[in-house]
Amino acid sequence: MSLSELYIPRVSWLHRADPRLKLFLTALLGPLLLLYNNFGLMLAAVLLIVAGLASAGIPRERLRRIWAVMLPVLITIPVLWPLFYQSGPTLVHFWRIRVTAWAAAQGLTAAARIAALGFLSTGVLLTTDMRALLRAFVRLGLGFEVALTITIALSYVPRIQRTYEQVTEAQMARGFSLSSGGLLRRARARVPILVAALVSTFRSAEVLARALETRGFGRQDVHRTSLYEVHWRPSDTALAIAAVVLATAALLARLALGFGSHPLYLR
Amino acid sequence: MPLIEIRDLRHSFSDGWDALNGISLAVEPGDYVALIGPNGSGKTTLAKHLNGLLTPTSGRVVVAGMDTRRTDVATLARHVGYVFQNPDHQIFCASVRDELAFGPRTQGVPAAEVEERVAEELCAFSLEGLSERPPAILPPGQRRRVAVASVLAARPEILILDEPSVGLDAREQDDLFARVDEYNRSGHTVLLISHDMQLVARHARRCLLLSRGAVLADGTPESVLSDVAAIDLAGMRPPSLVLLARALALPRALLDVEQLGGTLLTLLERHA
Repeated sequence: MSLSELYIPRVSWLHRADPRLKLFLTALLGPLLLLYNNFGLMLAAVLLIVAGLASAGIPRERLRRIWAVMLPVLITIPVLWPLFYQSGPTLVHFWRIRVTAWAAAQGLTAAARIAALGFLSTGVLLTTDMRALLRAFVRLGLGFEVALTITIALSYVPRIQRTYEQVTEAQMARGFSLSSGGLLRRARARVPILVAALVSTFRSAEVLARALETRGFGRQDVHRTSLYEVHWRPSDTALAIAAVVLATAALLARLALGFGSHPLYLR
Repeated sequence: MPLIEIRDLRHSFSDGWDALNGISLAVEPGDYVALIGPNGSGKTTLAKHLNGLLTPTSGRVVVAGMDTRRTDVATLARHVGYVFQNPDHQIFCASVRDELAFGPRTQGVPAAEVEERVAEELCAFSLEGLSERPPAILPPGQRRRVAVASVLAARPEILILDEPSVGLDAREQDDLFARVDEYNRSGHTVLLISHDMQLVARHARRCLLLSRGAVLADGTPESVLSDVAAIDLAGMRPPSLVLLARALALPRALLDVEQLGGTLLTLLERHA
């Protein structure tokens, strides 16, 4: 299974929420995740966001797939972190490498932060129809052209992935082995796939741009009408207020009380 | 012994879609088989089982004596050449020459023989003048020819062509199929996936009609394409000439205009 189509249509509280609220929550929580620096809190944030997505009916298989996409980064960060930061008491010492408790915890915190940010931003796309997202951007004051460009760019992410999968199949069918040899050989084997996938993607992007132009994209002298509309409900206001209150409390706790600044200890 | 042996093949995708529902068939060496059917009938899914890109959910696929479940794609690729629908997915080398040489090089073919094969395919596909150009920037018809030529240069026992005529004009199509037919005549097996029934009638010797992941009809192109009931059941439209032959109550199925002309002339002479 792939991430081919990011949006998963469901009837849930998160799907019903106005896309502007989801963008607002992302803009609010993202900086908080960057501000806090505690492994326990980051892990709690990841679990909370994943639980939120699961409660919105996002299938476990899709969540597992997002984990799988992020996994190489999530492993690389805690592995590399201790190699560059070696302050504090030693946890493990082998050969010339000294792993300190602080560096290990810091690496794990950074990885958990990436996971939380990944699920947070993908959550918007998993639960929002592109047409609604486009309307939300327009209602937020972006011009239609800019909004359409952003949504097309977002919809290109799964398209690139699909192209990459198709190219991988085509190259494997030509006898290309992607699973044999060492790490370097395997990485080198991916180069032809990336080249073919990029060429294919650029070509389809060019065709799409021309198709949009021929359909009158960018015409200034006509007032566009819209088939889809987004609606801000009282529940969206309530959620936004609750989020602002919680975010302010979290901000004060972090800045005034120093809460959550250490990777291992809360204070 | 069949070159391809498929027994009760079923394939379900992870989203729950049952793409193949118990297909059994055998293909002999040197055969020229066409797979026809509406979109979503399982043609490409079936073809991808032959080089191991997909493995059976249940059932068995044996190609050139190898169980595809136990053989990796790279090994199967020595026996099965696959030309994909979109040539852009195959093309990545810096020059047409390199692109054609890629397959045989991957198989460890000696350099002199690689050169020989490349020259042969460049000539067969009229690509000599383009050999040093980057294939990615060629027009669609030429990219398609490069994709087919690069697969043929590897000399697979089985050649799979997935919608090879898309984007080609009549002349390019004739040139391409002249080479494919010649390849088949030299003893290689060809599997052609196409919506173009004229193409199937003109080139294939066996035709499989697929619908909802099952084989609905299997026989000569003449017998399958004139089986109006089966084609209707698959949700396709029979070739116009077949319908015309039925409307005129002609004694045999007709698949091209030459056949129709010949039959009408014979009937007119008989009546005269």
